[in-house]
Amino acid sequence: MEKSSRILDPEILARFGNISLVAKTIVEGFISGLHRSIHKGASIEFAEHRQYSVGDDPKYLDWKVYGRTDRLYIREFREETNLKSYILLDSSNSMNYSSQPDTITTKFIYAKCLAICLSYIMMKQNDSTGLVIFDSEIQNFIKPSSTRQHFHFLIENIENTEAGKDTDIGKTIHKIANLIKRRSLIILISDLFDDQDAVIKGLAHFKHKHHEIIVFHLLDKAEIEFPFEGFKDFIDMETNERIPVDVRAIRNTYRNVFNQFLSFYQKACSERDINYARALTSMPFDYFLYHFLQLRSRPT
Amino acid sequence: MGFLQPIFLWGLLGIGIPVLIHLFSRRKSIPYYFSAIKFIKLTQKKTIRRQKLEEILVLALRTVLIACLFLAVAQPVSKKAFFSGKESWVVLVLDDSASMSASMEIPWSNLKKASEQILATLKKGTHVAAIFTSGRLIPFSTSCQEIAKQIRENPAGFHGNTLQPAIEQAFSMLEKRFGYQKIFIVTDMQKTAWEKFSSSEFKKINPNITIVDAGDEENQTNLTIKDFYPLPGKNSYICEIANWSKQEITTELKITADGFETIKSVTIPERKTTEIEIKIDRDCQTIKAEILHPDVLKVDNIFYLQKETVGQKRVLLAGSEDSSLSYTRSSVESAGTILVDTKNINELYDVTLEKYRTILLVNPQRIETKIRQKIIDYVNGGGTLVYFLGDRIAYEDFNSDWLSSEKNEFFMPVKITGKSEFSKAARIAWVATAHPLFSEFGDRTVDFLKTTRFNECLSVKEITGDILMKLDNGYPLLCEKRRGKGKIFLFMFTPQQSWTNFQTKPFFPVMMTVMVESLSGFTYPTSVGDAVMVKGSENADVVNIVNPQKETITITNKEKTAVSYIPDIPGIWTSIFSTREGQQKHIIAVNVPYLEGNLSKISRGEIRSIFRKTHIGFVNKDRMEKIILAETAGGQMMMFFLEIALAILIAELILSNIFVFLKEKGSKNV
Repeated sequence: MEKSSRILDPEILARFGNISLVAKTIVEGFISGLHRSIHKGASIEFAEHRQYSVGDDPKYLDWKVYGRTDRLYIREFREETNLKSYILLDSSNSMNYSSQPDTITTKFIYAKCLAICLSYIMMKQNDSTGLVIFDSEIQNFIKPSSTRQHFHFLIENIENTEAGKDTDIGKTIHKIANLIKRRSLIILISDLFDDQDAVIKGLAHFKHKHHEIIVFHLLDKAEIEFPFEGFKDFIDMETNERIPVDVRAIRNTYRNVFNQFLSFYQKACSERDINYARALTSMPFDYFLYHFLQLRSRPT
Repeated sequence: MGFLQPIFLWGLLGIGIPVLIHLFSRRKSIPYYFSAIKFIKLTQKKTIRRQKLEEILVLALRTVLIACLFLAVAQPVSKKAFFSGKESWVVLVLDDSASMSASMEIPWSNLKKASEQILATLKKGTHVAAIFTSGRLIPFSTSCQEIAKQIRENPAGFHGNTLQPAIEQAFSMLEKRFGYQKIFIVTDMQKTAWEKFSSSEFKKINPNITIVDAGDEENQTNLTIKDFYPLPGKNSYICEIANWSKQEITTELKITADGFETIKSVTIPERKTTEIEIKIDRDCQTIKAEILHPDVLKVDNIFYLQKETVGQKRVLLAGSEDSSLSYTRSSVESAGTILVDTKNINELYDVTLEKYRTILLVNPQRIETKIRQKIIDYVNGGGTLVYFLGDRIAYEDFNSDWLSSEKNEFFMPVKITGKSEFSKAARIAWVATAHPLFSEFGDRTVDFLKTTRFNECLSVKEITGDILMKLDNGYPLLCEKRRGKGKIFLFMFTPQQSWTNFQTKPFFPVMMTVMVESLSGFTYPTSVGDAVMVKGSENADVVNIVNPQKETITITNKEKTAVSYIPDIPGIWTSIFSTREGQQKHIIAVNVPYLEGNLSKISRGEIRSIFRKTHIGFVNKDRMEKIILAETAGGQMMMFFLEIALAILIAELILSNIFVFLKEKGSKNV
């Protein structure tokens, strides 16, 4: 993709008040020709053949092909738009972080923009989209619908949400998983700064219920690189706990610990067939989205 | 263990400073809201132990550093620790130079007091020796009381000594002594005593040295009589007075000439030496110049001068009345101290030669046998003959006359072959500068003689004496020969215009004066501590030396050599001895070297640079009572603590750098 237009830069996004307009601009800008459904699965429209493997449902075997080639092939269908999706937006206070507030947007604004973009894409495909805003509790639960009014309602809710509490992703995800009965696409947008095992268990709960899961792991570059200098009194954005630190003394260890944290999610998601995408708030927004969608559109 | 400066122990409270800083003065940090605190906590769990260890280590180092510094400054002492199990060798180097007598002998009494305190507090069994800078040595002894007594009885010195010989001796005395080696140098720190100090001699051993400053404050109004000498031919004298102080001084100068006193007011500008002319309207022998200023070093404010009186030393001049005789007479008389009797050569028969120190023969005609035999007896008996050969000499007669028919031995240093006239004027090319006659002029003698020309001289053969002067064409000009107890100086020319221009040159009267004065026993003033040779005492059996305090020392001259002695106090020293000419007196004025008047002190840094690697401690006279404590252990313990403090400082620097390096490395590793 060519260099993104200025309006798509996170810097612009940070200053631009109307997120939905930005999201619309982003989506309108590159979506045509790309916007195949991000779902794949059972549907009416034939998609492609795939060699049979143990565990596949035999009702999808294409006997005609078997008759011609003496080999077993499964018929795959593109799922239709009546599939449901839920966007799970983490509104904990840690999402409000930006290492350079003047030039880089906060993770939460980035997340909101991402959520609106995805809603917009799915609305265009007549997919039903729901929204769950959560921190340590579920703050808002909007059931999916594909109507335009619903979409506007969704946007309005996203825009009006403010981050500001502490997090308990693991517990909240379990609650959400219990609320969503029908198989859906679950899109979790969060920095995942919580108990890792609890988060993965929560996601496994979704998986157990045959939901498809996409995790957008939002991070600020400073959270990875820890580029500070000197002595700093670090204050927890959620608990206001103060920790005085000689940055130079702990930088190396911090980076190692954080890399372990990232590797853990990457590995755990991979093992559980969960789509995992890491986004840095310093990345141009459209660049990230484009690449993610392109990755999704590749035939599996 | 005790402390010499316990007040500094209050400084140990300072060790609380790093602790307080550690506890209360937290690092100034900037508050920062951050999302990933969870990871910082995880990180800190891993690094906090190392950080705490680092902080505790640095805190401990700083605490010990402060403690060591204050302990060192407080000068800890512990005799027990110091002497434990070791044999101890202590040498006291005691400065008894003249400057120690300054300020009413306060430095000298300080020196005695310090020495006694050192000795009184040394551990029993310590080997102690003492060396005075004047050269006196008290050998190693374990009896401190005996050494203290000897030091107490030693008078203040009048010497202008440097400390180097005594310190070198102290080093060499300790060189083969095993155990604890210690040198105490008790001095007034006078700078002149340390000048031209060579430290190369002090590398063999490394004893502990303590310098005790026994000096008074620098004397601000010190005056010294630098020199006092007569002007030739007149009863006038020059007194050179050096003013070492920083202000002009007006004082009185007392001149005592053979008991008659004259007082003159003098003004000496600051830091200058002024020449003052003094006229005495009478002929006198002993003159004493004394500065009557209340605040001067009492030994070098006096200068003694012993002058020869006319008639005391007599020489006989014999020859024919011509210009060479008059030249020679005027040259000898120019000294002003020698009476010259002039006789015709034939008159010598009736003259008692023994009453003359020297006989000068200038171009005489043939000498009769009786007179010749008289001269031979005079020389063999210890007289000196100076003989100028000239036109009146018949060569064959000379060669036969002075030949002893009995022993077939030629009396003169050379035989004469004839007179040589030079086509080109000859110059003096070589002089025996080591000979006492020329030693005063040294290697420059030939330079002084470079304008001297010789048109002719006598050529010689069968040289049995020593050649003292030679022409550039190889002809010997002056020969010396010892005969019996006396000697002969034979010149191959006569001081006449047709022969040479030597007599018209300034060097000729000087040479004659030196020659005659030397042969007739003239004495120059000397300094305390310098050896004095009693001239003319070669033939004396006993020489009595009377010092300025009228004490007599008798020296028996068994070896029949010139007697010498070393005067140890300033004043007039008289040597009395008997020869065949009767009783002789050799009187000499002895003074203190004028440099002793400069009482400016050497700095401690300069002394340290002299001894370089040797540990030097300094003790001020105001703290005499603690000398021994400071110096038996204090210095070493102080150094011990200072060395620990330094090591800690270096350790902290290294550790800090290692910590920084590790942190930097950690940062770059990701």
